[in-house]
Amino acid sequence: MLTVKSKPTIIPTYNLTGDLLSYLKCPLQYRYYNKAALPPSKPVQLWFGEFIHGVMEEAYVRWKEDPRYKKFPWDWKNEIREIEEMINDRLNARGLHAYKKVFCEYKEGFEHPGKCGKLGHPHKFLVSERTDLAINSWGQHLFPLIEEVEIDLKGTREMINYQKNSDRSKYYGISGVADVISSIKIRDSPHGNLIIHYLHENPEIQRIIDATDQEEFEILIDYKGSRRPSSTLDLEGKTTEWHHHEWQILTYAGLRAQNKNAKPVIAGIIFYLNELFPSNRDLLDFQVEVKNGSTDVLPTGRDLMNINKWKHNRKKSQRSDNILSGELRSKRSIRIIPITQEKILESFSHFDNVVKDIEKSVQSEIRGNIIPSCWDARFIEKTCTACDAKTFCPNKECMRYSPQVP
Amino acid sequence: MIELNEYLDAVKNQLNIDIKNDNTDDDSTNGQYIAINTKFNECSFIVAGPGSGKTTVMTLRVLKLIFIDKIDPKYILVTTFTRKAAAELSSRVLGWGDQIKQHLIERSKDPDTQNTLKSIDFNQITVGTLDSISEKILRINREPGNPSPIIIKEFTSKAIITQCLLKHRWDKDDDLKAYINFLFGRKPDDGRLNFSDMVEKILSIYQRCNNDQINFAQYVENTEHKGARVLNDLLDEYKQKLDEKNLFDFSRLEFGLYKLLSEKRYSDDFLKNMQIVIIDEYQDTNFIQTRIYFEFAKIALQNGGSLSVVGDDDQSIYRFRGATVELFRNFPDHFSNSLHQTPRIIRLRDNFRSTENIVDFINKYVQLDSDYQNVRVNNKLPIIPSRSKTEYYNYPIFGLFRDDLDSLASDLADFINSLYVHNSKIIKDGELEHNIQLNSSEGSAADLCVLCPSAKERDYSDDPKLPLLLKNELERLNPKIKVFNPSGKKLSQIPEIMKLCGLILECIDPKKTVQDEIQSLPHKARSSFDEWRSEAQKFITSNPPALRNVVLYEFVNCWQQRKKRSNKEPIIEQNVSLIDLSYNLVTWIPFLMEDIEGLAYFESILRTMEDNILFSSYKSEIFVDATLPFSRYQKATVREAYWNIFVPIALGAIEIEEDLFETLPHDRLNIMSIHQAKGLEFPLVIVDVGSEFKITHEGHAFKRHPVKPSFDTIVETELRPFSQLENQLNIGGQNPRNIDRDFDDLIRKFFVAYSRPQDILLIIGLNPVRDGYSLKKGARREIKNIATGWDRKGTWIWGPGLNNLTHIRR
Repeated sequence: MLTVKSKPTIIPTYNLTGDLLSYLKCPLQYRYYNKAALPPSKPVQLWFGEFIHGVMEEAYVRWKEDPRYKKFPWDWKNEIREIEEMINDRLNARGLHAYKKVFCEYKEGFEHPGKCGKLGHPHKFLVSERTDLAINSWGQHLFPLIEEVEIDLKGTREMINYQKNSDRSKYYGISGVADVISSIKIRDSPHGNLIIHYLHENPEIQRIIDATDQEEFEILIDYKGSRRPSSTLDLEGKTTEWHHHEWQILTYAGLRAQNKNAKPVIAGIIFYLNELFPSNRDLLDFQVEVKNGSTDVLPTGRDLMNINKWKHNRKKSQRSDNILSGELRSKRSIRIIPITQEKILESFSHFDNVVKDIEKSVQSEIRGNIIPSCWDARFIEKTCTACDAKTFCPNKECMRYSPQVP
Repeated sequence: MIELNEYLDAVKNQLNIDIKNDNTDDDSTNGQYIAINTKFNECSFIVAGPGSGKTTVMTLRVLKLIFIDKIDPKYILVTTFTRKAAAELSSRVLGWGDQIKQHLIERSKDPDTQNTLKSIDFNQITVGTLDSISEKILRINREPGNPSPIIIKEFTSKAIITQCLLKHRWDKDDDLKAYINFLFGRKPDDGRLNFSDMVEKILSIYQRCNNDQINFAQYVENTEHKGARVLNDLLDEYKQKLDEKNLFDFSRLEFGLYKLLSEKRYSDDFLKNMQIVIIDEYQDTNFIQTRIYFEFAKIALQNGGSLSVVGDDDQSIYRFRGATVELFRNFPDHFSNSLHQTPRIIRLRDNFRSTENIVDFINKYVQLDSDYQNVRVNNKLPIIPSRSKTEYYNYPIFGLFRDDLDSLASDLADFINSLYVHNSKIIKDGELEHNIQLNSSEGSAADLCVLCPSAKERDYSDDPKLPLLLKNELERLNPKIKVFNPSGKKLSQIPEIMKLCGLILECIDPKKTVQDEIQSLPHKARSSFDEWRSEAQKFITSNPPALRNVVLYEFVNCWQQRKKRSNKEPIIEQNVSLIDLSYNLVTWIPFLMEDIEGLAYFESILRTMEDNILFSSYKSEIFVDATLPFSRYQKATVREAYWNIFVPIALGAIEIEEDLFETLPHDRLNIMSIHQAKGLEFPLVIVDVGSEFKITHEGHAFKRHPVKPSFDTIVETELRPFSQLENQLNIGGQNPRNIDRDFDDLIRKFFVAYSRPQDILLIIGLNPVRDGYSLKKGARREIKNIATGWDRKGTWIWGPGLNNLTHIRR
């Protein structure tokens, strides 16, 4: 009798944002965009995410290495615009472009007239308002605390309920890139630092600090080119982006803790940078959340009055900084996540289950089933409207989408 | 903390791998033990024969360095040749490492040792292909303000070369054509040189120049070929285009890494403190890669560590990609001359893969050509059959030869079917009977593999080849046997892709207005476009069901009229992404989104469009305006889509990546090229040594017994004197005659093929390859073929009839 062909030993590796968070959004969309890497037809969200990360990273490098950039605030036209152009050039070279209404792509000698038809370049459109505020409101507090940027984090986990004959591997790999790691001496921190202030204000973090005799700690920081998500479960009682972002930070902390040289990680911070200057769409979502009480940072006083009476007017849109105060926008743009061992274990366990679900779908494909029958299709209107698979998605709610010319 | 014996016990206990130690210092008999146990600061040169458990040895060596020598995993670098091999090696380190770690923790009574073991993180090891590692290092060590490199694939390089050729009409330049023909060993005006060959060979010369660090401008001054000057201009323009957009092809990426290392412009912790470097598949390395590895070695030695290279000169089959086997053969000398340390030579001769008969067969095969022995590693000894004899039946080497291609495909399909459906095939061998049976519980068609010199389903004149005929035969069976051969077919000939591309062309260029205006379209591309359009029209008229209340005819018609489907209003000044149009159209072609193979094909089309965004003017968008349907701008966007996207697809420049088939069912019969099979093993391997050779024809001599040097050999000979690295590396030892290198390569190629099987090797071809054939006048002719036991001098050592094989007859 012949030998049986041996199966290669391959441990599947999953990236926290590229795989696990994408899968949680919609498994079928994950199959197409992430596992198969089909390019999206309108990679605008991808552009903004990468743009804001690039701008923050470059701004930090300049602050660190060039004495001219030590003082805040930075002037948008003279100091920030140059960084924007540089990052946009890099993204353009990779085929990623912004919507012309949110970012002025004009540059001297630019070869595509018509991308920004207005006169008087450069314009400080929505995205530039955000970069200005991100650097000038958070950069000055964050940059002095930065220890490392873009840190690769990796780990290996055991596959839960491992079955030798059906599972591909007894283990799975998990990876991610933390945007920033800050090192702080919490009892001897820079005076007037807003980030430290927020950390001290958080009772849970204060408890963690009080319970240890350590002097130095680490804070993990993640920038998100999106708005602060609603903090409640969805209509079906399922977890949402809000919870998934927390799992992500906790898992980063767990992976970081495996590094021999790491100091204790006591908190994660997510900056939701859209909140610094919300778009009309963001304001609409916020208005609904305020009514439902489904967001954790609520407006009061004038902010509450303004958001309740605000009406979206396509023809005459109002600047969002005229509607919401700087204080509220700043508060909504920062989310602090206390890190404890129990929470880390819990988040790992969530992702163990997510990986198990992904592997089940993979096995189903290997058994010869067609792709849409192996992966759930989840309906989230905002995600689905921008999804290229919407015209053949089996989810009933997606039947509303049909092929369009163009 | 952990002793070697403890470690090897754990390996035996947890992994069931017994690394035997015969207590000698003899590399040639105690290879595995010595390779794993060599001191962490001693460099080694490991010559690993086929099936010698090379990956196991490398994994256990890495783990030994961590457990026993306490090397920090984050300062270990391992490079391999393919992403798949890297994933496998990394998975073994992680999986086996964890198993051994848990075992050692349980056994240890010392809390310090337990804590040290617990803190080991195997994820910190860097394992990857040189390209992925180069990209990472260049990204991390880029200077402030400098962007990360944007990596382009070969397709994009070809598209940029195409642009340069067409812009200056260099494709019509007689000097350039004559020069490329010269490198092919043809007459200057040989008409066989077509456009896509031209693009491919220009890229190949460019890569050779980078890999070997050729000063092409200096060469141009010293050559009488005027075409070399034209080529020089073209390559300058190509490089300029990459510079403009910060694009990096692989050879530029490697050069960037070499410069960074040699100029010591790095500051990251990993490079500064790297201690252990292990290079796999070193026999397929090129000049620039060797320089990179030597720079890595310098760092490792400075940090008190070492470099190990692993490979086998008999398995070097990538000369066409710049591989220079002499770099492997002469490694010990190069290394000691450059770095003043003599590496330990270790031979892994035990073959744990194949039966005794197969090992005996490959040993004889590789020693058959006396000239070949001169280019092998010094004192190379035969490999030793070491697979446990209780595990297998020692089948003879089988042969299956038939009069014509159809009979060969049909009888081969019968043979496979007997195994697959009846689970048994009895082969008579004189008085003996050999019963071949697949494993009754787990056996499947995946246990078999057909290896061909090329897995293409059709030849240049579109006639079917063995892979296609065999596939047709197997798929005709009941139950049918599915075949996996993604590189066998061209994207442009897959029915669903033809339909999709045809629909796109019908939408963006109705009535072929722009297509007809492009006079210089290659003939083959034009006929493909017409074929696609005809498929699309047939599909539209077949009236496929309306989807989401949209009829395909209506959708295409709206596009052609440039009006919106929702309100029938004319479309004014809109840029429409071809990617978006494709997604809309696949709504009617569900195969491309539902089936794993279909999705891989669709992905290849979309990635072609996406890559085009990197270097094109109109970014894979079509400008649409109903008021000016034939404006210059609209036409320009369509014309660019033809040249940059659809011409490459039609001419077969877009290859389907095998990585896209991760979840393909495991029960398919693999048909692949010998190159694709490198590093793989199968229980039963069928090797095609001559399904194409009915008579002696000079046109296919290069595939069996060359009569003139190949393109790659001529390029190598012509350009290498202008290499900046030639003196540094002092290659030497090359066969004096160019053509000898082609013979050497053919021998190696079939050595790789013959050493893949675990249980059965079946050699197939046409009868004239086995017996020779008669001419009309009655004279006999024999077909010289390295794969059937001829040497280069023209002696048929296996002899007519191939009596060393057991033939499967009807």
